[in-house]
Amino acid sequence: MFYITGNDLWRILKSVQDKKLILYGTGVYANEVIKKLQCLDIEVAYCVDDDFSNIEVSIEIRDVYSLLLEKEDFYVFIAKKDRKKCAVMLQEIGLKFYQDFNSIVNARAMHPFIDEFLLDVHLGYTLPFQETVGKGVKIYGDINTAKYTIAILGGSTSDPCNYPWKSWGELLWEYHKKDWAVVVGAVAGYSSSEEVIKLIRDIIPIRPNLIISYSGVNDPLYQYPYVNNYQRFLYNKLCRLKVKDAYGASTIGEQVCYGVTSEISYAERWINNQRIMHSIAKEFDIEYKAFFQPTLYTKCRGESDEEVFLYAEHVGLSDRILYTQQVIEYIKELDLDFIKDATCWLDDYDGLFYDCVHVEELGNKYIAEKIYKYFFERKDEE
Amino acid sequence: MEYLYQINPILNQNVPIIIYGMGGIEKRLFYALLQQNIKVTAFCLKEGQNSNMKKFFNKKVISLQELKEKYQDAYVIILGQSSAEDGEILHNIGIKNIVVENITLKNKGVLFLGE
Repeated sequence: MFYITGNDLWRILKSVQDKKLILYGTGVYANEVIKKLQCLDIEVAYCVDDDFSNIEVSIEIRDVYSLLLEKEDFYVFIAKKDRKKCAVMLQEIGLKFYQDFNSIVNARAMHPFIDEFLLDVHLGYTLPFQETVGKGVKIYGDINTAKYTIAILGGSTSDPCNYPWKSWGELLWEYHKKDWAVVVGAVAGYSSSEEVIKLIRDIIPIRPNLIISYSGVNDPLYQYPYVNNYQRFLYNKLCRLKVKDAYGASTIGEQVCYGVTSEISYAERWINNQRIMHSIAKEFDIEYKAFFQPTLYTKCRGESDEEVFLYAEHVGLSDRILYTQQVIEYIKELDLDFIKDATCWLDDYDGLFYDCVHVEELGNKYIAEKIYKYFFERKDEE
Repeated sequence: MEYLYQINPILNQNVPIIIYGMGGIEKRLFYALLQQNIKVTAFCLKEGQNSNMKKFFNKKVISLQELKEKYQDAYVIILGQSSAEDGEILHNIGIKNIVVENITLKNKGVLFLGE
């Protein structure tokens, strides 16, 4: 079953603008995709494949290697189950993910073809990188020789490994490549609760000079503080395994504990987690700053932003807007020097967002610039 | 996977279909039709509604005037919650085939022909 989301649709339309659309796949699934695209007045020029044993499409088909001979500008969407294998094939031909091809399902910027995450005992999942300090962070520069180390926490908007472009953390590091190290512990889907655990376990031991949390969008996603949806899924499965203890007995029942019930709002939870992280960092003489990030929900939207906003699927839109406004109110009211309202940072720009919360590399460049100016421009002038 | 709603079979018959309005609910309506491979021809701006967009979900955005001039025989889908008002506007410009969605109303799930 092929289901298009609003974000995917926007991405599909943008990718094929002024380009020939070619589908990679010739089976039942590809045929479904063609019918859907026809309803959207999107024409598939032809299909390519590397396996012609189960052809269901009725349009022209060619071998995938024929793409090497294609003279017009084109874009390939993968419409086969084994997307990873198809992506590898297309990359071998010389095509680039996102720029030249994508999966028709989840047609977004997040890389759908790589094994993205590692299982994590405390957080459910984490970054897959093996760095000198262990797994779970991505390091730019050398933390052993760097004069200044910055650690970054957050969610997908700061995640360094899932996109075909540079994260703002990497772009920040590029300001002072020789002297700095930037340690990115931001992971797609993490809320401020995951950041707290990540800070204690993975960031404090590194003893950076500065910790930055760039976050806010994921907090309304999770019903239980400190337990993300993947962890819930995982533990629901695990509790049925009846793992026995050293005495051969299993005393674990089939219910999972998610912690004590909390009545505080998502907005208050985000603020509280920043206060917790700041306190911990302060104990170790590490500077800590949190930025409540900009999104299309409350940004001043130009024409391009408005179009993206229209296409996006807004589950719980009014709740998200309310949450954002509540956090902004808390920030004003509490006036804590370590929390900054950054929701207006990208107000001067239009067309940076490709969905309600994510930006491409140009947007990351502006974020890195804002962060750099906030902390270092005065110091540079001195 | 079963769908949560049924679509009036008349909309499956390769007829021009216009969705009246361009808001969040109209968007959902568009998706409901798309998921069942039903092709929408255009979106029509409601009376008094403005937009700079020439296309919405790759479909033409037309005015009420254009609807009247070029799509008299189209099936125009209106929202249940404003069906009385919208139905009257469309009836006044000569649109005969008005389909009222009621996914958002009590009897969820069935698109039926309005009177």
